[in-house]
Amino acid sequence: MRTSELTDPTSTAEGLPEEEAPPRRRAAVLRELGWMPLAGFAVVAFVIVVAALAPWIMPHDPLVSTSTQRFAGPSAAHWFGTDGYSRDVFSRMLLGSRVSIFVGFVVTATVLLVGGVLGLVAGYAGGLVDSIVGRIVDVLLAVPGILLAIAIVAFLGPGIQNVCIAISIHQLPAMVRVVRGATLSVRKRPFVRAGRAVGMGHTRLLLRHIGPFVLGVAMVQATLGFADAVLYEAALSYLGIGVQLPEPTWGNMISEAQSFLTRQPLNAIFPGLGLTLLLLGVNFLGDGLRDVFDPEGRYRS
Amino acid sequence: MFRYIVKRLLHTIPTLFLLAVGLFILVRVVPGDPVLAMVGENATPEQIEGLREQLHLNDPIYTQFLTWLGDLARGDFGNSVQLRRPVTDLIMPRVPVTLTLALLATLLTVVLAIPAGVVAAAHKGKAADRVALSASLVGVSVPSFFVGMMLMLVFAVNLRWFPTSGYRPLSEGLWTSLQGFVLPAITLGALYAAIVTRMSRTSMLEVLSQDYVVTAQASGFGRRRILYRHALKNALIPIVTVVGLNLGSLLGGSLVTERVFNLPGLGTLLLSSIERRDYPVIQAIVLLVTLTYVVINLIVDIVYAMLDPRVRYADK
Repeated sequence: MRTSELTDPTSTAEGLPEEEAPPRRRAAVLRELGWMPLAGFAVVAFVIVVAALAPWIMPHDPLVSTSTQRFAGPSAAHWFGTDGYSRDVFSRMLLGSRVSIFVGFVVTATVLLVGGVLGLVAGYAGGLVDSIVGRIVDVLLAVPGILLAIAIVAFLGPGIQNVCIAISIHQLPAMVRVVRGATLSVRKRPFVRAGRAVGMGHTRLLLRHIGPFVLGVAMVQATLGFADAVLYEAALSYLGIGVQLPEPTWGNMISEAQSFLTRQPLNAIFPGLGLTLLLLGVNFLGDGLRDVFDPEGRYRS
Repeated sequence: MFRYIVKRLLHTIPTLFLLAVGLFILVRVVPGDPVLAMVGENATPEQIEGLREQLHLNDPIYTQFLTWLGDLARGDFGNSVQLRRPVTDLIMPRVPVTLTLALLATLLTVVLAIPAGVVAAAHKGKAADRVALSASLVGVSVPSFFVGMMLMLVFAVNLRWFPTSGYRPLSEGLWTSLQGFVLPAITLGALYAAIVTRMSRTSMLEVLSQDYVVTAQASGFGRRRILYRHALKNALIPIVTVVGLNLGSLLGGSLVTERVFNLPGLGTLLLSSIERRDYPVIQAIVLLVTLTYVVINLIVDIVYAMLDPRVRYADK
């Protein structure tokens, strides 16, 4: 992103009370972080690559029986064993990883875009616009936890598209709050007033000059939102109202395996560990990003 | 104080009203004809017309809304279409199950997480702190339904300490009834314990860095006395707030946990109603749980304002 003289943080840093960390400090913070965010990044990157390549690296067809034995344990032919329909669990997990990653990215992008714009506009414009956006946020926040996502899916019906819509709506209020808060804090800064004074339009000011300042905290929120989206998709699919069988997701694989938990617990354990690993990775990464972009926790929702 | 309470109430009522509007609209934008979905495909035209009449769907939209709102205000959530029973009759027996689960999980959270957070803060950077932080990070990362299933596998299937699933009412004895709640409560509590541990640690660290703690140290008070007598008392206010606010999301989380252990609470009713497309029941559960959550929030806010006068004057 090209930054003009006016938005360069180093040129406006002096003499202002609440400031972004200067670049030098950020580098220092990066060193202090240690291995956790890096490990998190490695795990997430690995799962993304696996998900992208899944159709080409799946050893078996995940949707049909490819073994003579049901509930088989791990073997050379079937690394993670087979399920109740003697399908290959490893191949099903590879295919299922695509759903997690897909929902994660689609929801994160949607929330970043819609929530980002709403938050920017509400924080910048204030007044009536702010009140209306604030009201919507209040209503969405009033429905506790996963209930909002469940309720939306209940009315829209199952399927990956509706799951994405439901989780996006669930996450929207947090993003709007964070971005609005950050926008409010830069709105009064001299460079914004200077921009207005030299006749810059609102849109240009918002996108080119305020936007970059807000992007850091928005990205942190988005990373946490990614983990949240993966978790919620798994939960909705586990509950049987998300992505429907026979299309495998890690959530509905666990749900399917529960009925035969005594017969072959590994069928639930492998997808469960997959989810845990991915979520740990995203959370490690998110914690690291937060320490860099929002060290004092000013914009946490 | 009175003004603060009135202000918070005035803020809450429009939120609930808008939620009711939202739920009302949702049923009407459902893809396909909800009436057809509710009565099934083999319904006769008379049945469909009868249901439309029963749901007041032939009235103008604003009359429909006002009728519905009026019924709600009287505690009448309408009738389940498929089960042909009042929604209230379906919901009421489920409430104690969900409530018991949520309260037990909260108890567990309080007993485990607050001490863990305080100890972690007292030993910041040391081994105890790292263990508490890592455990809480793992706690928020493992999906709760997976935790539940693993607990079930180990403690119910293999060790046979607890029943795998199902619900025994209190009338069969306190211990028999409680046994069925142990694993679900741990499952649900684990996630919130992770959140509350982190919050307690942060809150405690904040207090420990304040001037009066430094003064107390300089005056030669013992470490334990400062920690538990002076710092904890002040750190507890935000911690209790977080616990209170989480009680609401616990209600949401218990919906999932009930499914894992097949407990007959609001969550299992909600899911079976979704399968049946029984919209009046779905609406009622969403409204009821949200109302509970909003009321808890309100009480927590008011108690917080009573304990900490700064809150009352902050946004005057």
